[in-house]
Amino acid sequence: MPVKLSFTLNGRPVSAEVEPTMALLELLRERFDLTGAKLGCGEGECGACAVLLDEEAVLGCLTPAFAVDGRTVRTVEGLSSSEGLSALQQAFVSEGAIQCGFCTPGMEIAAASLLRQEPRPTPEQIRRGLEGNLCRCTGYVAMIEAVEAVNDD
Amino acid sequence: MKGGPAREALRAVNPPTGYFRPDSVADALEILARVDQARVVAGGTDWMLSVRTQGQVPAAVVDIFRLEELQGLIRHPDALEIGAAVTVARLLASAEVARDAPLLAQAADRFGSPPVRSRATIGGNLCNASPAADLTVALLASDATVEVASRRCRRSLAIRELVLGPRRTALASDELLVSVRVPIRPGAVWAFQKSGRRPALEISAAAVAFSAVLQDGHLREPRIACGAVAPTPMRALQAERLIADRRLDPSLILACARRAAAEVEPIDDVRGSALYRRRLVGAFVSRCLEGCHAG
Ligand SMILES: Cc1cc2nc3c(=O)[nH]c(=O)nc-3n(C[C@H](O)[C@H](O)[C@H](O)COP(=O)(O)OP(=O)(O)OC[C@H]3O[C@@H](n4cnc5c(N)ncnc54)[C@H](O)[C@@H]3O)c2cc1C
Ligand code: FES
Ligand code: FES
Repeated sequence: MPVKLSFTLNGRPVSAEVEPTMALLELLRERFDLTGAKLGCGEGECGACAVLLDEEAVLGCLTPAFAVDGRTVRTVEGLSSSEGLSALQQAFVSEGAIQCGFCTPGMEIAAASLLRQEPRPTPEQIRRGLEGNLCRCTGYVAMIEAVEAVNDD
Repeated sequence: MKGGPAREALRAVNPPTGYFRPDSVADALEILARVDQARVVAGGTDWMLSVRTQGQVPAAVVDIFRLEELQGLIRHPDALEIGAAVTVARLLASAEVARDAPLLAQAADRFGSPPVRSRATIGGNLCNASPAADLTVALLASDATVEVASRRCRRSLAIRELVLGPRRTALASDELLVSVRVPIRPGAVWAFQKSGRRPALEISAAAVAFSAVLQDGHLREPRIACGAVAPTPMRALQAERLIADRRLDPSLILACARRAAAEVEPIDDVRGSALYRRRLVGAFVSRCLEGCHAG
């Protein structure tokens, strides 16, 4: 029995029909072609699949697609606007917090979720905010500095 | 290597036949009573994992995550009542939980990562019945009880009556866990310790929750609950008896830690050997007692 969903995706009203076992990540990647969120581990450990559900970070791989009905979803594609990258994304670029970029969408979503709750986070709060996201390239210092740099604006 | 099977499971093969999102507990119970093999799903953090990694697909899903009646955080004179669908993120943000159920607050603070905490619920942690469930360990040491409902009856169970074995609870297929009741213990001392390879994210290799009431320097009704060291979270009853109504001193703390390490029943697995886990339990019990001794 497919489930009918209506929700707001990156600012636009959309609808879809999904099976109850479908993960949110699959809905976004395969039905809406939003390939920013990545399938890394598929088990909740790496955060590469993170997206914002009502502006709070959730894991695309472990959140059922049906959970978004009537709600607001924002992916990394929705962080930037027609004017370009958001301040947070620009900070990731300027601080050298990106190498291969696989973890970047999830990192920026985790950071965006943190900044909404805690507009001026301490380095410790930033570390805790990003603790669910793994990066295999850069190490984490540049990312923490990037999130701190957003505060300095 | 994990990408292979996970990727396949992302496209679930045999879809469930039903999806229900009831607006009331009464409706949820009606569905559970009528629909064969219906599966309650709250945040889905454990459930989706079982779908993805084991291809376990239920006949029907009953989505309770947003059910209003399960969202309560109610302060009664003698207890805090927490709705089954309250998330770990909400526990962590709640001033009531911090003040009246500090052990639960501490377990929530060491739980998963932010995107896990925003979906994981207290009811899901109990009903998933993992030997390592941290909230369950904290609730066991808090003498918490749960309220369970079906169309037939309502009943109240202690944590050890609810969780019977790995992935096994006392709930019948038509029953729903509705709320958790955490007694408020004025004058309580408490501590929570856990470990994992990545403490914040990893499933615990061992966890210990401790609480007691401190009266003229004596420990009344001490509770020592241990996670990931037996088929279910368990109380270290012998260790508790050693310190009950006594004043703590270094040699008593050592004896209590040793007794707890001896009475747990850990196994060897990927998260640690049985011996390592016994040592963790001993070390955690010492730390818990030293902390409250000093305080
Ligand atoms: C990356 C990661 C990190 C994690 N870290 C931790 C951790 O640090 N500590 C820890 O303890 N756990 C951890 N977990 C496990 C998991 O997040 C928790 O057990 C969580 O509390 C489950 O809640 P849920 O709402 O997601 O449950 P669901 O997946 O929705 O449900 C779990 C089970 O409980 C049943 N159920 C749920 N609610 C009810 C109800 N009200 N009545 C009857 N049955 C019900 C479901 O049918 C299902 O069988 C982690 C998981 C992941 C993926
Ligand atoms: S893919 Fe979701 S956490 Fe790794
Ligand atoms: S930049 Fe490559 S994984 Fe983080």
